[in-house]
Amino acid sequence: MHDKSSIIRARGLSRSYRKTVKAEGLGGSLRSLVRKRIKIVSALCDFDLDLGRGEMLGVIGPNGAGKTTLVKLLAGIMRPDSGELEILGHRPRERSDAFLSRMALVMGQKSQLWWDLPASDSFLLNKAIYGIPEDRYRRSLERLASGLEVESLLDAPVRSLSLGERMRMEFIAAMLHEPDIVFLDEPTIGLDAPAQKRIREFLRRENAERGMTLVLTSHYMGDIRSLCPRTVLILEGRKAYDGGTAELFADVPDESDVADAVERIYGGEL
Amino acid sequence: MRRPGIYAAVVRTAFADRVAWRADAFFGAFMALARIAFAFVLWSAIFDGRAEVGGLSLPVVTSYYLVAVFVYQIDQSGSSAEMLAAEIRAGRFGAYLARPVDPLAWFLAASAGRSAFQATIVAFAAALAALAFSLLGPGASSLLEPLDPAGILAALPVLISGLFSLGLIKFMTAILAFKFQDIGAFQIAQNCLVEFLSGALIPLALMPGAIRAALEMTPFPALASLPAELALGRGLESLPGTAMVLVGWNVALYAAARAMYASLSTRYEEFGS
Repeated sequence: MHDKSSIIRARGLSRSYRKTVKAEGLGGSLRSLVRKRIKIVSALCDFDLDLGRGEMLGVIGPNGAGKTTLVKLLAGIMRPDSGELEILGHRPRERSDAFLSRMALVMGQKSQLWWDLPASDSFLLNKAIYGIPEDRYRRSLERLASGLEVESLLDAPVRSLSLGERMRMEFIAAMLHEPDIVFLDEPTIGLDAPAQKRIREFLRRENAERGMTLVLTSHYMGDIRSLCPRTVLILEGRKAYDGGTAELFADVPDESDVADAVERIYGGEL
Repeated sequence: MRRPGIYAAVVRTAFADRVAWRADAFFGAFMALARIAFAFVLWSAIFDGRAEVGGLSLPVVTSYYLVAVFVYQIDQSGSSAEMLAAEIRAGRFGAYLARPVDPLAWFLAASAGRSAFQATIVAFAAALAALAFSLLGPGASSLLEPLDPAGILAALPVLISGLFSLGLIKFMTAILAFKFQDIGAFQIAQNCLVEFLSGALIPLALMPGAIRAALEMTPFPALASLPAELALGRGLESLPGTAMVLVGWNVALYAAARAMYASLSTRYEEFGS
């Protein structure tokens, strides 16, 4: 049983973007040269969240709903316009070493691995970045590589790996320092079903063995259903649902993707 | 600055990364050899039997090119800048922000690692070029001015200081990608300008006195002209002044790079990135 004391506490979190807009066609492009039109778009509005240690939270919503913005705010990559956010006793926007050393961020198809080198070289670099002692590093690497079934691929250049193999290496790079909390933004995007399943099993095991807290955005129903007992649904930057995943998707068939499921539940609201 | 051990690891990894691209490095060194050969043909025509041009003899000019062209090849901060700009545009810059690393120190360390590998290749190619000259017989080797060991030792810190300055300038160019869609034009203009200002194209000694004096107040001659002249045993007496100029530039450029990063990096907040 994990300790459910709150490690993420967000209150009234809001974030908007300045977006350049132009009319269609050549005329619109030329006019935008003379007069630039800026539109303020609200990506996340008045968002509250409490998450306990060891919880696995799914964040879903249509494209542009604000999921990635939420993950970036939580990971400290982006600063909120207003509101309060505290994670593990730190303010992510300050990007302190103490906070960054206790969390990890995996964004689907955005690699932190060195493309022309074996993944093991990137792992060694992360060992230095997080100051992982040699014996702990070896233990972690062995556990993660065997858990993700990539022991034989550690010395192959990253560019020679398949997408699924590469993604598993990304997980190893992110987990080597045994973070307390992991933010995953579409981590299984583009992967085939067996690769998705392997990653889900790995995450479930990490959660069970280490009590790792997880915030996951995904378009795949399988990811959310099999990993996250609790789901937050974001629609147009606002929280539309926060509760049990089973209850939310009670009438939705397994084979649906998240967008279909949300459309089925919320009908014309999307 | 976070733990220095991190950046030593970045230097090692970047060096290893360049080994994967060794064919490119060898090709670059070969092109440097070709460039020296062309320069020799061109300057032979310019000298056309004259003992000196602009106070320099043909052996001095040939030796100058041999050192300056190779030394100028060492800097690899340009490729680091291209990669960083691409990461910013593709939304992969978050990998730096989500880990306890300093993007500027990372950039400088990666450039140092790549440049160290290039320096190894360049040293090998320069030795080959010198050997080729000596094998061509006494006539050919008399076309070279002997290098001064004390000057070579003095040239090393000057070169490293110049590489540091250029690395900071390239970093500032790369992070313009936070604001502009395409920074290719900035990079091309910068490369042409730096090549000229460093003396890799035309020896600074051949430029008018006022222009030369103005250029010597910039960090660019430290990338080619100054190390070449020092290696030839010239200009050792002005080393303290040169060192002060370079330290001043490095402090100013470092402060400017930090300020520019603090100002521009807040723009890394676009939809979907």
